[in-house]
Amino acid sequence: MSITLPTSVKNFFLQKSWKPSSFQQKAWDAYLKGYSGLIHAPTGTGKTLAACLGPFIENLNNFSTVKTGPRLIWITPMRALASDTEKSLREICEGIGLPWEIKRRTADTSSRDRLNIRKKPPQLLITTPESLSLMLSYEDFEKRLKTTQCVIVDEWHELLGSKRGVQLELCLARIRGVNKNLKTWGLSATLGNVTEALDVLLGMKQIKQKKIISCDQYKKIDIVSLIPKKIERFPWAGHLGLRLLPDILEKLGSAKSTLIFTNTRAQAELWFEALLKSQPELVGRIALHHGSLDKSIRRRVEEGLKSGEFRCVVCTSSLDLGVDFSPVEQVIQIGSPKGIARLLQRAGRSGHRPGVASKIICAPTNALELVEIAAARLAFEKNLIEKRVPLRLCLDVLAQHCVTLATGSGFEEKQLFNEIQKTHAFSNLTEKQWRWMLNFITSGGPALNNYPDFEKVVKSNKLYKIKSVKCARLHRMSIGTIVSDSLMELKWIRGQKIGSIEETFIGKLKKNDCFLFNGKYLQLVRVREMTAYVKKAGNKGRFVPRWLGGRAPLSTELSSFTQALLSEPIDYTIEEIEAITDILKTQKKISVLPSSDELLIESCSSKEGRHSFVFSFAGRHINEGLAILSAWRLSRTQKDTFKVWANDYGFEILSLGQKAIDIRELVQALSIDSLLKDLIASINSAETSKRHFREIAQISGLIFTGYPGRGKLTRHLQASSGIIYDVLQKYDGDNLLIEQALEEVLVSEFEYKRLKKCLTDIASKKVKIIETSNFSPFAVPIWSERIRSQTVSSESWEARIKRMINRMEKKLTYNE
Amino acid sequence: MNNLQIKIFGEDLILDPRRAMVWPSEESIFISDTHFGKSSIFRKYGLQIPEGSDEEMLISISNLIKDYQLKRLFILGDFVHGALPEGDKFFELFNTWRRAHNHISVVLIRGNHDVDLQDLCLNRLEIYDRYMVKSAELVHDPASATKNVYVSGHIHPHLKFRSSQESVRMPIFWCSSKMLILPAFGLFTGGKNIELSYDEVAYAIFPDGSDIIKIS
Repeated sequence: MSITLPTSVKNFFLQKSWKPSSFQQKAWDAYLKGYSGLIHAPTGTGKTLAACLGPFIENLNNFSTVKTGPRLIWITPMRALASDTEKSLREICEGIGLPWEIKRRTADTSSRDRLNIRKKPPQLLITTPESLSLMLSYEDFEKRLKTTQCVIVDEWHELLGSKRGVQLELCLARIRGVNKNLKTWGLSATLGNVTEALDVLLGMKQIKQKKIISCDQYKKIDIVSLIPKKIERFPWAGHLGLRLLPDILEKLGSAKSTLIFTNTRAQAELWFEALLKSQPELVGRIALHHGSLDKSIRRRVEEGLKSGEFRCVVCTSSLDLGVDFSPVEQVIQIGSPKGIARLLQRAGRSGHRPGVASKIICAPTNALELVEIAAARLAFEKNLIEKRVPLRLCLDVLAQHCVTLATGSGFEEKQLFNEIQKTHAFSNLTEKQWRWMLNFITSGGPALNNYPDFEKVVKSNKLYKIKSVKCARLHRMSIGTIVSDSLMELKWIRGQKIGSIEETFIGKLKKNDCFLFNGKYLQLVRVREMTAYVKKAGNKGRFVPRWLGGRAPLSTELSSFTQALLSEPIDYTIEEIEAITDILKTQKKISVLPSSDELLIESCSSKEGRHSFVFSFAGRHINEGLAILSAWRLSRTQKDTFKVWANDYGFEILSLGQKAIDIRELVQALSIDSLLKDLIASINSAETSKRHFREIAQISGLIFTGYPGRGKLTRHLQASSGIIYDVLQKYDGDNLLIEQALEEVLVSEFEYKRLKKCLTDIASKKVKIIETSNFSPFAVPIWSERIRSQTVSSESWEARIKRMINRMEKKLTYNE
Repeated sequence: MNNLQIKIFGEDLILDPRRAMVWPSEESIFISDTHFGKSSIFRKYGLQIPEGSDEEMLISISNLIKDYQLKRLFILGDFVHGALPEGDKFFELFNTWRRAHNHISVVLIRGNHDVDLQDLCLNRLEIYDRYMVKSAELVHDPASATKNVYVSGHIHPHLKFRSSQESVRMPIFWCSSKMLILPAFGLFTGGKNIELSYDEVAYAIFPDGSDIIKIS
């Protein structure tokens, strides 16, 4: 390597006994030669150092006293990460003797500090995409970016594929607009589409000198399954894995500290409670961490993890991201991780040090999940990791960005159009869409054209500027693209705060209902405005919260590996597959195991009606789409009522009428002809679009949600997005945001492209139709989940399914 | 159009799925919570909400008056959504409508949103805080009723029906032997889900305004 490090850097490394790895040196070299790029390396390999030292050395060599603006901007996706990042950057900075001022600017920063940062920016500014956007809404800030040398985006893979990423793309385009020499570097963990990730970060045809720096030495990760001693022949997802509690306890005993990841908050609550119940001596040494807990509780748990105070922390994806917990010795995943990248990310939480192997133990919640774990290991060995597909043409984000710029220094039409077209997200933006957008923020769109009182953005002297101080204030309050379910405060009757909880969840409860929260059984006493008051529950009703956004579908990559493992010929030498031999045998006995060029359809009768199960192995979203689509098509040719349900492996159509579903018609219903038209007609698109419109309305500035705690001032401006959707559709049918809502439904809820590909695949497969006398092991998970979703009390569905499975077992044994 | 005849506190009333109540013996029609001008207030604050709902509501009121041949219109509060900007289109719209319906009297029971009614409107509306029709007291907010029997608005009551797969929310007339709470007439309004107690009845309106059904 050609790079020679300055003496102070060498001494610092010596003192810390660090040895720069080759990818770090490559990154520094590339930076100092003027490149932009992406550093792609697994968690815990020293990405931060790889990214920051280039700019640091540049300034050590050539110290500038320019204080007009930040020299380096460090973007982090999470506020919680910002303080850790600041600490490690400061350590390096001071260690090598670079006298830089470092400051953080996030939503937590006080208003005095914010003003201070704007007026006297530090040399190194750490911030989030939202805060960066917000800073651009101040007139004096843009010119401060002219002397910025580099923007570094940490955890770029987390932003890519989301509207936050699009927002950042636009902000970066703006900075490049005023500063031609800006270098941009991204840091990304495991990702399937690295080249695309780089292109999105750097924009289209803007930066010629670009490089991808990969850590060639992939960290070793052991993916180990916890195989249950007894495996039932009919897998069902009933017990949330608690059956493996003794095995997990054993594992806890052998490690100094353990992180237990679950897929849902409800599962985290259950496990936390179960662990405490079986090992009461763990009180105080075990903690819970998930997104619904109060910030202060979460922070305390994070601190405790770092200091090694806790033996074990049960958590959800809330701890997936970067914070360094080097003391964690062991990571356990409950349930299938549903994605390879996610599993690797979680595995990376242990042995978070270069050169130390990571190990993740996966505990399946039902036996078929063993296959998914094996699939993840195979995919990892073949180096196949999920892609993050970047979003395009989010007009809501564009509208927000344009108003932001109008609030700041203002913008010129042509110049901004050119600038925006250089982003990946808007490279296909048409002149027509651009016109519509400008019209939308100035006169409110065609439907408002003659309304003189509309106030937002005005054009004067070529420059688009916000119309009033009032509008600027309202806009600044709503910058950002994170739209979550509104949260309610959870308090004891006496007023002490416990945490926050989704409004929709509380909405489902009645007075006196019990639920589990942070390991406590709570009983709802009353709801006042945005606060839910609870007391300790006396009798323990077994009611576990079912939070939103709990279950991620199996990723495309993982589905195809799973399908391959479950197709003939079966490879019984894989440990997990060997463990489920009984299940596969039973499947063969009742039905068949399809080979990879076959599509298996099982049909069977019960008291409920006629069941048809179709196994596409395409992941839950796709199967939901297929189920709704085919049931809708069937209902057009035959008068009947259908119930549908789907999981990652397949879907069920239950016909409640007497007449059996004609399987040939079912196969026809899976045709690709007029897919788009039929899909839109079948998904009750109005209702689903309305749900999606909520986010769009908030981002584009159609609804004003106000400041937390200042809601009342704007009471008269409150309307639900559903009502606005109705009004727009009725009186402004050409509104492009309504169109966007439908597109988002197709893309995000049904993954339209993947669905289309799946139907093409199905068309090329041999259809294998089996009439069964009993539900097969593949069918049972789908059926049992449908039963669960349809029964109200949680006790009864478990009992019912257990009973029915016992009956199936008996029938099978009898036949043997 | 399917309407429903009901008997409540000894009176024969008609519930119309266009979210209006008709009292034939009084030759009167009752609507509530129109929230006129709501979209212009939103626009004033830079939220791009199209107009059209105000006009549609006025047409709907005209049709109701024509269909039932009535002499009096009662609006049970929240006639406007808030102080409208001077010269707002709604004033002209409403004046034109009022001229075309000179023969009927319009009574407004003042609602919490009706704080700043322009003179223009005042001339054409009789405004009261409460008003008696036979034994029933008309108020905006049911909490402010002083008599045993009352008709009110304010709540924008809705009922939510849930099946295993989906849920529907319908605006309702909320009744007991002593009260009748009207659904919001406004097209650009939301509402509150209520739970019926055993002695109450709801008349739920289909989302497309085509029908009305009794639920108890």
